[in-house]
Amino acid sequence: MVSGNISPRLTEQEIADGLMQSGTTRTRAEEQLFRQYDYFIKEGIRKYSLSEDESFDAYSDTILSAIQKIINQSFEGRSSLKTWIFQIFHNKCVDLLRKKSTNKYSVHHTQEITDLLHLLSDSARSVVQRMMDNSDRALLGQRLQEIGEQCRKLLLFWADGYPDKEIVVLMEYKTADVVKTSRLRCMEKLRQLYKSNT
Amino acid sequence: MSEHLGYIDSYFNKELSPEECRIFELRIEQDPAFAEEVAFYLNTLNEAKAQLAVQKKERFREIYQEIRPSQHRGLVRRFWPYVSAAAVTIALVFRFVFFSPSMSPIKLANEYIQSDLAIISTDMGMGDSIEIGKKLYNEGKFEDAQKQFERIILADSLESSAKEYAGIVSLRLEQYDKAIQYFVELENTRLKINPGKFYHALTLMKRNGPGDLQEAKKLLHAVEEENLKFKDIAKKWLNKWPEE
Repeated sequence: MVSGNISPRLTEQEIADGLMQSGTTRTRAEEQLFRQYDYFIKEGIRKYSLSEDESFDAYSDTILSAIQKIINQSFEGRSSLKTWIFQIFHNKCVDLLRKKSTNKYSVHHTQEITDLLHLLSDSARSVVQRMMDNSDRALLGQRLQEIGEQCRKLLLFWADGYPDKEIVVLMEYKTADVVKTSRLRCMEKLRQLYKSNT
Repeated sequence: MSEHLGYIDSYFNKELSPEECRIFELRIEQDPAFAEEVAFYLNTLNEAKAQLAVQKKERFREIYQEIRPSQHRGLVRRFWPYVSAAAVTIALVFRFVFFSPSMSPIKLANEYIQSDLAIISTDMGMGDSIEIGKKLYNEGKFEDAQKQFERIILADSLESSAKEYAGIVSLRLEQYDKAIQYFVELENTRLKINPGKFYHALTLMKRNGPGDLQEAKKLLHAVEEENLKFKDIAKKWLNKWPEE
């Protein structure tokens, strides 16, 4: 990559392998994936008449979504990585255009429903979904910012899909059990902070 | 700490048996406080993911900001041959319309040094001591190259090509007196094609001290008249030499 900051293009397999690793290897693979098809941003501007910022947002969301899917092994490799990512990008751009045309875009960013919710039975899911919709997400987000650096870092690693045994190395804990206990303590702390204001 | 969070965590980590899962789901339907904790668990995960996405998007934006100028540079690079050709044409037309073809001797010298003395062609094996000096020169290690050529001259004071290269590298190091000394020695060497006077003139043009240009002009005339090496370049330069 050239230029001092330019890294060489990696193969699809090299990127996928890097994303399955942890720590800096994974971070580098994420950045490589972003760089790999960054010219899609221009496509977003040219093909979908998006502004540069909108196209960048669509492309960034595409890459984040692709990373999650690759890590979860949802990418089956039936098409090339490029084709698959462009399909996600296309859908994001179309969504964005639709939201823009209905004036919803600037005020409302829908939150992706976590895949975990789908593990529940239909009846249990509808109860939980209703409660989730009634919660104050902005306040929860604010409390997560205030919970303390160590706890926040731990919860973000968890949200990034790192298993406890890998967090042991990344955050220098003694064992995976200690990570789990600490993570649940942090969640409890967050819950207390959140409840004190609701 | 709530016992429920551990239980909820086990469910979503798929650590419970099918029967335990069924009981878990049933409890959600029957126990609102428990259902509220499940909702909190998932909301926390969602919120952490959202904050993570913001962090990553910030990182991507930094990368994109780095990439953007390079893309512009890439565009310039792609069209550079056309742009430069157009610029050269315009410059030539402008020059012939508005200016005389004369050029300052120092400019002629600089252009020659940049284009013709950027590298010394190598033609022998790496073991040859002159070739080692050339290699050092081509790598921009001028001091080392100078030492190498001077070692060769010390060992054999009649080695003319070492003198030529020692003079050139001294010129590149802006050690003009030393360069002139080597080129004068070269001038006084019996060679079929002698570049000594030409390089001597070049060094004077580059140094541009009192009386240097007059002396350089005389040397260039001598190169042309005596049919010495680089006489064509000497002739061209004399044609461009500004009126005194």
